[in-house]
Amino acid sequence: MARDIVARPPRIRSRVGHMSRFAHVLVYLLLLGMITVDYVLLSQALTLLLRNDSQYGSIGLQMYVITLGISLAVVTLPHVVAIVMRRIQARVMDRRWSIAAVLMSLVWVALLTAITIARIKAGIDAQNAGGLTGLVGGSTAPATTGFSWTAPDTIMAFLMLGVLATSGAISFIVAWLTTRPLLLASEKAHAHVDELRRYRDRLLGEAVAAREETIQAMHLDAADHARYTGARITFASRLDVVRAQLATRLAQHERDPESTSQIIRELRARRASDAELGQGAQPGQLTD
Amino acid sequence: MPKRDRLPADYSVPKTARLRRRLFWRLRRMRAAVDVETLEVFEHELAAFERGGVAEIERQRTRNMAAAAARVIASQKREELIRGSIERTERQLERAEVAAERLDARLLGHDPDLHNFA
Repeated sequence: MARDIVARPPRIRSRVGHMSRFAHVLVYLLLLGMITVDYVLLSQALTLLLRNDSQYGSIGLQMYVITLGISLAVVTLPHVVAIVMRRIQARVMDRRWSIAAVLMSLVWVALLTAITIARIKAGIDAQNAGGLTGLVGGSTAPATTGFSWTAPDTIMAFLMLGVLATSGAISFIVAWLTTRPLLLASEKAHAHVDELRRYRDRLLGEAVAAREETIQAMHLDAADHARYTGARITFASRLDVVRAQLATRLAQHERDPESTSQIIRELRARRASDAELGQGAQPGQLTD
Repeated sequence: MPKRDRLPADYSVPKTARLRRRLFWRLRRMRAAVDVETLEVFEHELAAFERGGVAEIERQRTRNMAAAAARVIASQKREELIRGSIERTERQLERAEVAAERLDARLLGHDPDLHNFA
C-alpha cells in the first residue's frame, strides 16, 4: 500500500549546504581527541628533550604551553588549510588565498620536521650523556655517538612523526569532507526545489481525488434517498394490497345474505358523518 | 472497491403476509358476526402495522443518512487537510526557489554577501 502523503507527509530537508549539528559535534570531538593524543606524545618528547632542565622543574609551565601550542597547531593547521582550499575551490575566497594555504602547510611541515629532529637530537644527547647527569654513580665517561637510523630514539622519533602526521591528515580529510562545495549546495537546492514541486503535484492530485470522493459520498446519499422513497412506496403498496383484499372479502360477504352489507353501509354512514364533522377521512380505509 | 464507496445495506420492507393471514383467519372465524367494532379493530390493527413499518423504514433511512454524513465529513476534512498542506508547500517552494536562485547567483559571482559560506 502506498504511503498516504496527506496523513504522513514525506520529510523534505529544507536546509541546504549545511551540516547537521550532530556531525559538527562529532567532528570537533574527533579533533579534540587527536589534540589530546598529540599532547601526550609531545609532552613525553619534550620532557625527554629537556630532561636536564625539567628534572629540576625549572621550565614546567613553559613546557606545558609549548606542548599545547604545538599539538594545537599540528591538528588545526591542516583543518584551516582544508577549509581555505574548499572556499577557494568554491570561488568564495579569492585565488590569492592559496598562498596563505601553502604557507600554512609549509609551517605545518616545518613544525613536524623540527619536532622530529629535536626528538632525534634529544636521543643522541641522552646517549652521549649516558643517563641523567644528576644521578649519583653516573661516573663512566660517555662515548660520543653520532646519528644512527636504528637507534631506539630515532625509531621512536619517526613513530611520533607518523602519529602527528596522521592526526594532521585526518583533520585535513575531515574538514575536506565536511565543508561542502558551493556547487554541491546549489545542486542540492535545485533538488530540493524539484522535490517540493513533485510533492505539490502529488498533493494536487490528492486534492482532486478527495473532491471526487466527496462528490461520490454525496451521490451515495442521493441514491440512498431514492431507495428510501422506493421502500416507502413499496410498503404503502403492500398495505394497499392487504386492504384491497380485505375489502374484496368483505364485499363478497356483502353479496351473500349476511348482515355484512348492512354493517358496511352503517360504517360508511359513520365515516361520512365524521367527514362532515371535519375530522377528515383517512385515505385507504377498508370500506372505501 | 473500498468499503466506504459501497452502498449500505438495502432497505428491508416489512412483510404483510402474516398480517394478512391473521386478519383473514379472524374474518373467517367470525364470518357471521362481523360488525362495525370488528372492522374498526381491523383498521386499527392495519394502521398500527403501517405506522410500525414506516418507523422501521425511517430508522434505516436515519442510519444510512448518518453513515453518509460521516463519509462526507471525513472526505471534506481530508480536503481541508490537503488544501492546508498545499498552501504550506507553496510557501516552502517559493522560499526554496529564492534560495536556489541566490546560490546560483553566488556561483556566478553576483551576490553581495559572498563571504557568508562555509
